[in-house]
Amino acid sequence: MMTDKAAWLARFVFLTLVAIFLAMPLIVVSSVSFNDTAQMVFPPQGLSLRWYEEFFNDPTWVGAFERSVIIALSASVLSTSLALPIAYAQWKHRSKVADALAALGGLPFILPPVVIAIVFLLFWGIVQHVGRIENIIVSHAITFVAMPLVMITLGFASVEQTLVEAAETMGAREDQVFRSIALPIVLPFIIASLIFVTIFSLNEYLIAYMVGGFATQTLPVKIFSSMRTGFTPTMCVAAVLFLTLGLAGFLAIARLGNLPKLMGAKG
Amino acid sequence: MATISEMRPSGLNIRGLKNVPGGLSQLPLIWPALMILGFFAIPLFFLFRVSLANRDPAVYQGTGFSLQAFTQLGQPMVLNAVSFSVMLSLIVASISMLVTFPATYFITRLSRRAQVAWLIGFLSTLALSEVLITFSWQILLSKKAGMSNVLVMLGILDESMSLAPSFGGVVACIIYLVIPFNFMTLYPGLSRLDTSYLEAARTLGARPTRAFFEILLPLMRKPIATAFLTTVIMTIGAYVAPIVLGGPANWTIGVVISEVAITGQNLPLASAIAILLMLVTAMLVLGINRIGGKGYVS
Repeated sequence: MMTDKAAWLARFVFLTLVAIFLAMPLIVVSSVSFNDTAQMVFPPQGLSLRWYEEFFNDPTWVGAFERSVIIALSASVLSTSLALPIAYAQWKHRSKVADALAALGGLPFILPPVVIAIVFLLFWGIVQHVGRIENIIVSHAITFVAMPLVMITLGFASVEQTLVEAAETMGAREDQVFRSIALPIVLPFIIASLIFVTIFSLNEYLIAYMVGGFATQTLPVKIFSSMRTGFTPTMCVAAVLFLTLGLAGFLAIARLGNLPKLMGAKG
Repeated sequence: MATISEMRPSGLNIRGLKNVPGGLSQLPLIWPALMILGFFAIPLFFLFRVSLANRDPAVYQGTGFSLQAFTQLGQPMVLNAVSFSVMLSLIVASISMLVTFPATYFITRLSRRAQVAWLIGFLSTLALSEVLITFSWQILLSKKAGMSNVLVMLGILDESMSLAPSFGGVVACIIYLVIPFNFMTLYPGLSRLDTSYLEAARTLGARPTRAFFEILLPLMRKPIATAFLTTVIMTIGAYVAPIVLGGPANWTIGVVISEVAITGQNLPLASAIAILLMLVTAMLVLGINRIGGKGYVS
């Protein structure tokens, strides 16, 4: 029988190994980005910011980065605007139509990503609207709508029902109930879904590659094509940039709201 | 139980329209309904339609009706990729579960601060693009900048070597991709777990292993099945990792679909393979649900 101390040590070692496994690629990428030589060497030789300079002076990298940000922000707003009425109708009216829409909207999450990518590739090809930036925005918004649906539903579920009933008894109209009672509670969940969809869209590759054209190359697509043609440490700069953005987003959620609860923990 | 709102006579406000089919309460649903039907239901319908078309170099989506694309599904390129993908996804899901389940359990027993730190860590890797993760694994597995250099420094290896392309490289990278998803699926259940069962088992003298297999595992059957399935779904259509870290022998069905659709411009066949992939996924979902109990909720 293991003593408590040995069990604690075993846990500690195990969790440390998991943490190292998770951190390993991040460490390698970020240290290569600060490397002084053009070669991919690890451990890095000499510290420099020259690849950062190169990244921000190259219009193709900056362009891809800006496009990615525009797509991600638009997709997150669009996706959340689809999820909010559905989650609201499910909560307020127990609407069957909303249930059906939620089920349909959740479908992309139980289909392999490549199937979704092919579905959108076909669709934009058939309607002959190819290689436009809005194709990626709409496709991302639909693909990720399950995320805001789940989160905003969680938000409405935490609205005290007695408050709503009290307001209604006193004659508050539906929009007043929504604005003054539900919205303040649901708002952090809406912001969290905006951040989540932004981050996921920012990083999505396959759909962006299939429905976009050369002129709409996003950062992941550009990284992928550079990866096939040859290394440059500039790619690592892009990676570090994304990692920082993701980290900032989730830190914001953690500060703003109850991250463990949003992820489904109690209390 | 009658709520206060139900006892109140309606008529003062639009709540009274609630039960009228197509009443005002459904109005805000028009926007998501149009978008989801227009940009998901119709595209999905196109997929089925195109899979039944003849390939026509002049027309993007093909023309006419035929079962040509489905008869082409029997070719070895497709069948090998399907069986390889199924095998890969089951291996990845099993290894990932063996790591993530204990890790998540331990993390839910940590302090709240530590839990938030782990959550942010997992979410950040989850938020990293498949492309970036594959790219960093390519560096990790490379000869010049990879792990083998660390092994040389530690004296385990004599000389640094390239560890990719290889099956192991593909598996390691995909496991890295799915671990945060598994963590997020297991976390709610494990963090709400009523530990009094486990304490009771311990007080009554059950060995930890017995408590694990007879209490913890059955209680967590549903989330485990869900996490396992999520991994299978994500892995079965994987694209970036197999194409970068694997050789042609490690090509998944996802790679084959993209090759057929983009390089081959054969959309009827690509659609038919996509439908085959949906069927295989549905079968795996049903099969794993039978083992795991009705575990899968999206």
